[in-house]
Amino acid sequence: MSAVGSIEQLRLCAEEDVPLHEGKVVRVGDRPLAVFNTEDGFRVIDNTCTHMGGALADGLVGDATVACPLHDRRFDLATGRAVGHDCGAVAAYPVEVRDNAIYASIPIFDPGDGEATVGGGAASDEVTPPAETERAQSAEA
Amino acid sequence: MDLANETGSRHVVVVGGGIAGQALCETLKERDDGVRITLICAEPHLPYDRVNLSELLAEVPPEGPLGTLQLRPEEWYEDNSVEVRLATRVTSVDPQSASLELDSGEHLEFDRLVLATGSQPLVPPIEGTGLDRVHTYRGPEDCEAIRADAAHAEQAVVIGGGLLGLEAARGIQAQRCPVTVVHLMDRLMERQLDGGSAKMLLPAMQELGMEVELERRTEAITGNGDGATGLRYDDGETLDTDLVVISVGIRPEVALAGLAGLDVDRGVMVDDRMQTSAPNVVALGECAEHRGTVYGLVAPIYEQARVAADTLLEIDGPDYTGSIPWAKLKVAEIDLVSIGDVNGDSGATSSDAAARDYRKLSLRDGRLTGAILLGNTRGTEALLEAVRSEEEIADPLARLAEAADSGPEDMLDTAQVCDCNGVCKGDIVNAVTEDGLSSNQEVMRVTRAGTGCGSCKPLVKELVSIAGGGSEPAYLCPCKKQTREDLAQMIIEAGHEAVSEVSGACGTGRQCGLCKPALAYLVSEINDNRHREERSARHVNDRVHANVQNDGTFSVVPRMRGGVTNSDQLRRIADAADKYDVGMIKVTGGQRIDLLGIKREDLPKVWEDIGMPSGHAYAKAVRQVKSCVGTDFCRFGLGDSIKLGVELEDEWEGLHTPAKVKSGVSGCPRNCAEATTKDIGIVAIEGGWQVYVGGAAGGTVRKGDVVATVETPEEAKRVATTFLQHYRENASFKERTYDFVERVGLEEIQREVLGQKSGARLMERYRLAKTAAAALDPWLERHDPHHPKQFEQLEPVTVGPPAGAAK
Repeated sequence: MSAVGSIEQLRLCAEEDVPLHEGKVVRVGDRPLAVFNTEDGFRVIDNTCTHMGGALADGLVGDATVACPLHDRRFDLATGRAVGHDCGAVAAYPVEVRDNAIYASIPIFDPGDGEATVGGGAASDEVTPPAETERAQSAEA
Repeated sequence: MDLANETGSRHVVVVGGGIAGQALCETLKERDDGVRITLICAEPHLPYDRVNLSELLAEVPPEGPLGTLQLRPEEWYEDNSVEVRLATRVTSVDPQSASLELDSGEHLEFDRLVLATGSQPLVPPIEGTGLDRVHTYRGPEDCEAIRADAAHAEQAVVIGGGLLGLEAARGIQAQRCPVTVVHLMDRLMERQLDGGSAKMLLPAMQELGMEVELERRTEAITGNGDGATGLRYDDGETLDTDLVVISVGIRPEVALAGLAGLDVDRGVMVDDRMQTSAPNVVALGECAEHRGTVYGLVAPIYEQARVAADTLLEIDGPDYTGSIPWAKLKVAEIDLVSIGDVNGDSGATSSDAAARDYRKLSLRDGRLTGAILLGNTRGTEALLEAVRSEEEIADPLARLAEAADSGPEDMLDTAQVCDCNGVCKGDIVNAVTEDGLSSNQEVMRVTRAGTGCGSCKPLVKELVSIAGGGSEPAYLCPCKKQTREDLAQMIIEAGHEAVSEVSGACGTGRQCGLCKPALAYLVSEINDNRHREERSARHVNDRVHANVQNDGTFSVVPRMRGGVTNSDQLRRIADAADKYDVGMIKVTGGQRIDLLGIKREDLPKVWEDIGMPSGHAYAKAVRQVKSCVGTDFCRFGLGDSIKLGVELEDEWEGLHTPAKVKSGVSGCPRNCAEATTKDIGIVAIEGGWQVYVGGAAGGTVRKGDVVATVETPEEAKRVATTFLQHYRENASFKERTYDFVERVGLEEIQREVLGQKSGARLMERYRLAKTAAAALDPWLERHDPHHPKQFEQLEPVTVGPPAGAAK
């Protein structure tokens, strides 16, 4: 990834599109992202599991992680870090919620052929944790 | 009744029917069952477990005013010849003449007297405490009155932010009444907590919906003829409230001791033998003052009772030298333990505000005096022991880490597990390894561990399991450290109807995510499918009712009962396959048709087009009942296997199970439906039917065991269904029948399934579960989705080159 790009804040979906404690896939350019609605706010990470490519948006959410529906590999939702396995991390993106919509800051690259590419950016450890988002809705106890 | 006197036994009169009075009676009877005891209780109840009083606040107990808190049943007093006088007060005592007067006018003589008169709630000297809707929090009657008022109140206030005050506030919240805790000090529970842990407890209580006002001195409770209407603080500010509960502390009940001429300071003064200033009178519990300390906690009572009993029976035993006070906060969502003196001159603290975890060791002159554990309370027993022995500690931080890692297997055999009844680890281990006890209940009954305040029950269970050979009990999930049985009991007792309620009630509410489907099954099974469905707790297969494939597409298997179909169904399936570009049509091993490679958003449309119900091929549920052609066409057939297969599948359709359940019915012992290697299989033989369970032909190959051989297909159906329900109720999540049958044993299964009573009960619960399940073909969610975007893809976001303007 040597091509220079910029980070753009993109509107991914509306808040009500993602049920509480679940995820949904939003395809941004050529890259599927997973948007999660957690108790701690919305989170956005890459959708593709580093193990066998499962859709993380369909995983089970708990303890600020998601477990892939195919083989239970877990990832930290705030950082994308792998939890308890060595298949590698996924990218995590800073999130902001305003006007009932979810925005994520996503690196866009221009590889030089006129086509835009959506980048996972730097390794997850260097991705800043998501900004403090408003609480989605109070979780009914 | 002078038999006891004739045999030379003494008459001991115990004044006070609280935990202390009861503990003393128990200890006396253990030491000498001939001793004659008269127990005088001012309250109209037999002794009850006041420590868990908050249970009575939370809900009306169905078992009567005391709920399950009564310490011993009435028969115990008869069996042990303890004469009980309820609702009776002592009006005067004369130790010299060894006699006393009761308010009934009766005159009693004693050899020895025990004062266990307990304490009274402290009521601050402020205006308005006599108003209606103002209560103290001390006995079952208080709970009843508070509960009744809370049902109508708009805003309750608890004055006092100590252990009891917080419990009372939680109880009031359970009545759906908003509550504010008003506390004089600058932090909650200042007797047990230091600043750091109190700071962490505060937001936890607030998150439960409780308001907390600190550093507030109440000057008056204001009101009108109707009762309390508000509080006025000393700075003139006011707070509106229509229910006030006062819980600011206790005052030892010493009036009787005073009348008797005993030495009294704050409490009745006792020496290291629990003896008062009169040689024939002992005192214990909250009314007693030992070396300047009055204990308001339960554990010291049991230690005092042992010494007091020795003194009464003139047995040479160890002296009472004081107790290490320690407490566990019994507010379900928060685990908190405070031991000893937590404000020493040095120590170590490990604190993680985000995880709400706080652990502290407190030292004085290099020796351990106290500890606080909030959040993760692992290591409590080890630290209690260390505080008791005033362990010398060079590196407190390292010791803290070591305590967190220490499990019950590291405890010494002499380490005390149950402080209430003085039971050590070794007693529990022996009960299992030498007396051969295996269930938690038996061990608790025999050793009495866990039967006092109950706080050590989880540890007792762990020890029973360890002693039984399992190094670790079979937890439902490692993130919870609770077994399926424990969680099931909790769900039943608390009446939980949704996964989130269970997680919330599991200590710190940790939830790894992976155990949610297991909890979801447990909650649905216990509630007979009348639970509150939370889709986030389900695997994606159960969110969209189709089997996720490695490429993210899904497969669709419609219900095809007994493997029997017709041309109309086949035509519709073929049309749908063309229309939605199905990647592959496959005949499955279970005699059904699988449409593979369907996109999520097409699922509702495919279901609509084929118009057949879900085959549950994606779920932990009853799958298909495979059948052979049976008597209709086959020249060997002995029984109508197709009819029975179709009927069974119809009967069981829609029921979820701990793991998938595959079945088969064969019309003769040639077994073309491979029924003997199914989870449940039925085989027709000459003159009857055999019912097999626990067969498998997957990763494991196992021939099923014959549960019963019966004469009619109806009987076969009933036996198979009863087994299915037994499995549904007792297997662990993901435990297939072949593991379940081996674990439980065929005999036990036969006893449950074939037993008349147990079989009838299983069928009853099966019918309950089935009625709710039958109403639900999950594929009908195509008309009424659980969430508007359940099956839909979200709009893609297009991006242009970075410099461009495209959005």
